[in-house]
Amino acid sequence: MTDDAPRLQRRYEREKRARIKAESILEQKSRELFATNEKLVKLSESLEQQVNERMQDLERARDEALASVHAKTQFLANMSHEIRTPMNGVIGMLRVLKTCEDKKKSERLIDTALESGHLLVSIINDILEYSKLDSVGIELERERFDLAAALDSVIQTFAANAHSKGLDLITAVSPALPSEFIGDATRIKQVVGNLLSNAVKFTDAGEIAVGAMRSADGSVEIFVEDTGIGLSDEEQKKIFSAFSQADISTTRKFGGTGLGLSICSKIINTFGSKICIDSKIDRGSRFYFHLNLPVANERSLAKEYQSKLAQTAVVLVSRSRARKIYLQKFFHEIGLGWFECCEHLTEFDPDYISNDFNCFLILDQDTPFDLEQSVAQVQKLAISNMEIMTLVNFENISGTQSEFFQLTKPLHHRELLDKITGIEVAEKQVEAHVESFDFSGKKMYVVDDNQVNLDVAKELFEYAGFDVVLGHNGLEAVEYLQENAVDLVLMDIQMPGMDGLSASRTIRSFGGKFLDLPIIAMTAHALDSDRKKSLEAGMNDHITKPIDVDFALTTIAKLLGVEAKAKPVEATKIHQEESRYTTEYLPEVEGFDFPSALRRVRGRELKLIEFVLNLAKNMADAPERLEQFIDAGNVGEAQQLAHQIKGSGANIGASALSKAAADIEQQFKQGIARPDRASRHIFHEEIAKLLKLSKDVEPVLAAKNNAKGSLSEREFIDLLKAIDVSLKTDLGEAQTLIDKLYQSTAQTHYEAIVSNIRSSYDAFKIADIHALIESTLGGIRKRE
Amino acid sequence: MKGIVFTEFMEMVEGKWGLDMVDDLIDVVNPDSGGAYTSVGTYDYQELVAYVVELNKRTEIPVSDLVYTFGTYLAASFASKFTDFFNECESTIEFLTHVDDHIHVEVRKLYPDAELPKFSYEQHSADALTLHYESTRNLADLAHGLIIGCAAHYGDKIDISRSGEVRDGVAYEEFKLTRIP
Repeated sequence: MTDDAPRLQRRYEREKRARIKAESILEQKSRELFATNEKLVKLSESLEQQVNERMQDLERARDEALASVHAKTQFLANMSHEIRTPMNGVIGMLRVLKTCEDKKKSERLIDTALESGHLLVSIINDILEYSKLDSVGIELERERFDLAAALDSVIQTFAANAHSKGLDLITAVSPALPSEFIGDATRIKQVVGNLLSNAVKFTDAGEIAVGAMRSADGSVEIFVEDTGIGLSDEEQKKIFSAFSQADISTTRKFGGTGLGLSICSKIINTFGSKICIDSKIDRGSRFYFHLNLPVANERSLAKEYQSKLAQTAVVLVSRSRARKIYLQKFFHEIGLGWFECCEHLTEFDPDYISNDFNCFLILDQDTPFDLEQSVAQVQKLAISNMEIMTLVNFENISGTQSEFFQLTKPLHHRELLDKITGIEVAEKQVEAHVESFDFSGKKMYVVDDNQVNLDVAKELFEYAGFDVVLGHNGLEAVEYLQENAVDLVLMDIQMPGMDGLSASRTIRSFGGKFLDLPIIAMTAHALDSDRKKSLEAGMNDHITKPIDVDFALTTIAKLLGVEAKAKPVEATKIHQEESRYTTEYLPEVEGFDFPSALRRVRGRELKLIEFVLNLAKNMADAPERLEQFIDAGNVGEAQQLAHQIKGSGANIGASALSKAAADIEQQFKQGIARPDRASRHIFHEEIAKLLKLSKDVEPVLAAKNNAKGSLSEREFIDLLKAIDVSLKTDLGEAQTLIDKLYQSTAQTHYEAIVSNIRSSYDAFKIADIHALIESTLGGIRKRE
Repeated sequence: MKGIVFTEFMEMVEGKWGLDMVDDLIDVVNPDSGGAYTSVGTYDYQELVAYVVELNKRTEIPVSDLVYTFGTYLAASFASKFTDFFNECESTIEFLTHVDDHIHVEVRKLYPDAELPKFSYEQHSADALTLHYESTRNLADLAHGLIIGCAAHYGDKIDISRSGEVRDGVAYEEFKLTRIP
């Protein structure tokens, strides 16, 4: 046993160690298990949290989707209501018409049906416009435009509506505003038109002012303000979102799609700006936005008239607060010697004004009744050295037998300024820029792959004194310029072989004198991005086809450092000058704008006819060629053809053809190998029209007759009378005549009147047209 | 090597040759672990080898027989300790086809670092199986014993033919099993 004792002892020790080891292992394992378990618990918690978060995300997405669906449903409901109302108008009127025998009554029924139809179309247009903006976006045009004139034309369109509601419509364009900017005038007019339409809609009494002024930072602020129902803060926040008007009852009460402001907002955003609102419930609204527009012409009313008004005093008697404020500002900016305004004539004391001043008293008249009162008061004042003018709604002119000079509302500032400076519109110099620059001795190289464009350019620039050399593609240009010195290059961009951009880069790469050679891009691409491309290729400037004569010559003069010979003509006179060019032989054909094309050849109609014939000859088979190219999958050639026709069509005044070709070119550019049937059809039709036209005028050229004419006042009067008669007998005929009148008076001083007649016709306000014609004829008679 | 192999080995030695033999083996081998084995621990495989060698000296039973016998003992012991595993199968061959993907998984649950032999098999019929054994430890005899022990548990009569080789220190052994009805 003694032997066993140490062995037992060791055995015991061994077992003890094994137990301790086992316990420690178990302890460790249990800790590991605990840790693993902890991890699992945490993981499961975090998973749960993740699930919750995802659930919340999903719920939010679901709610948003539901809200969007709800908004769309609401929109659809409004829309179907909006569409159904005029639709019922159309159907209801037609149903009644079926059994109506009274001619007068049926005419009224037709008017209502037509009016409803027009409304329907405008609603649908809104919807289309909105969805288009949503899917395609907007690309802004770059063109020279007269902002004040653009605003004026919008204001004129709404004048009748505003006046019929008893609202005063005030044009508040700063006289210091440059006469021309570069930008997308159509889009700006669209936005202002929309804001103005809202202002008229939501204002029951008071006044609406539309204006523009230059801000300190150089941008242009354009605004529309009214004294209407106003908007709460809440409403202001959501008014720009689609499908929502201020509230649903608004839709019921005022109609409309609720898309207008959303569209406007998108457009202004594209300009890199936003529409802002200042508004309080029942205190009116002011919608405004700032645009950064490059100035094309720094001339302004203020610069033009400043020196002429130091000795002039104007007294305004008006109850309109906005008109007083605005005119005060206007006259201050323009440098008028003395301005005073008061609410009633009785407040005015003529003794204050020095006898050295030429004094004018403007009576703002809302109704003929006011006028009679005022006239009596004026007579009481016994003012001798003061000329009195009345400011009357243009609709009221006819009914007023006034001994005073009548200014019309909305006020045309130039009309007023001409009156108080004593310069008659008709007496002003009718002189084009073409005569203002002398480029004699300068050599110009014009490169274009299109013969018509070359012909036009040669005509135009030779007249301005240039020695013009023509080239047909980029390579030819590069070769010619290497060996011949010229003062200026006009370069088409899109040409077969070497295009204008590569040619310019190549020319610049020669270094030395080629770095300073003025190169101007001349292209039908009017977009901002195109301009950038030209400049990046080393060109100095960019003018668009069809060539705007004034802009081209001004640009060239600036580049060549040539000074104008005479004082440049005012912007509005340019239009007058343009109107000198009316066609004698070329008939008025829809889709053709010959007056503006004539301008490019300085009124030489025979030359233009020659161009027309040339184009017709060259492009007679264009539709077949286009179809062949398309069938053969030859997109390059097809696009080239469309591009050519776009350019030369525009140059000879075939605007619809040019547009159709542009549409087709655009589709090719978007990668569409087969442009849609509709655009091709229009293209074919326009070519057919061109061919027919060329056949019609061909004998003229042979006859070599070179007489010229324009729509005389006599013809204008006759046309107005004919319209007045046909209003009562044949509305279709009236429409034709009004269109004819509109076309033949575009950009003449009749334009505003005619455009009013036309918009009244579009709104089927027959009585208004009658009144307008009466008053216009009355005005002419009085002058005689 | 898993502690359970050591504790079972000692149990077998104690049962067949008495507790003193256990003490003698430990005294002579004098392992790093001190011979204090617990079934949940892990010990150096060489210790087991040393015990077998010593046991061979003392009993003059060949090493392969000793290892084989230990395999049959271990199988019987497992069968009583882990009855669930054995109950899941109805025959030796079925059990063997589950060893790699079932039992070894159970081992790794607790001991992810356990180094286990690889088994793969080709089953030719319900009664014929070729089992491939692959291990860095040359314990094919142990595997053989385990198979026989299993067969005893299930009451199967199995004919086994063996062939094998050692390449690069890895033993590859092939057992062709045929169940004799």
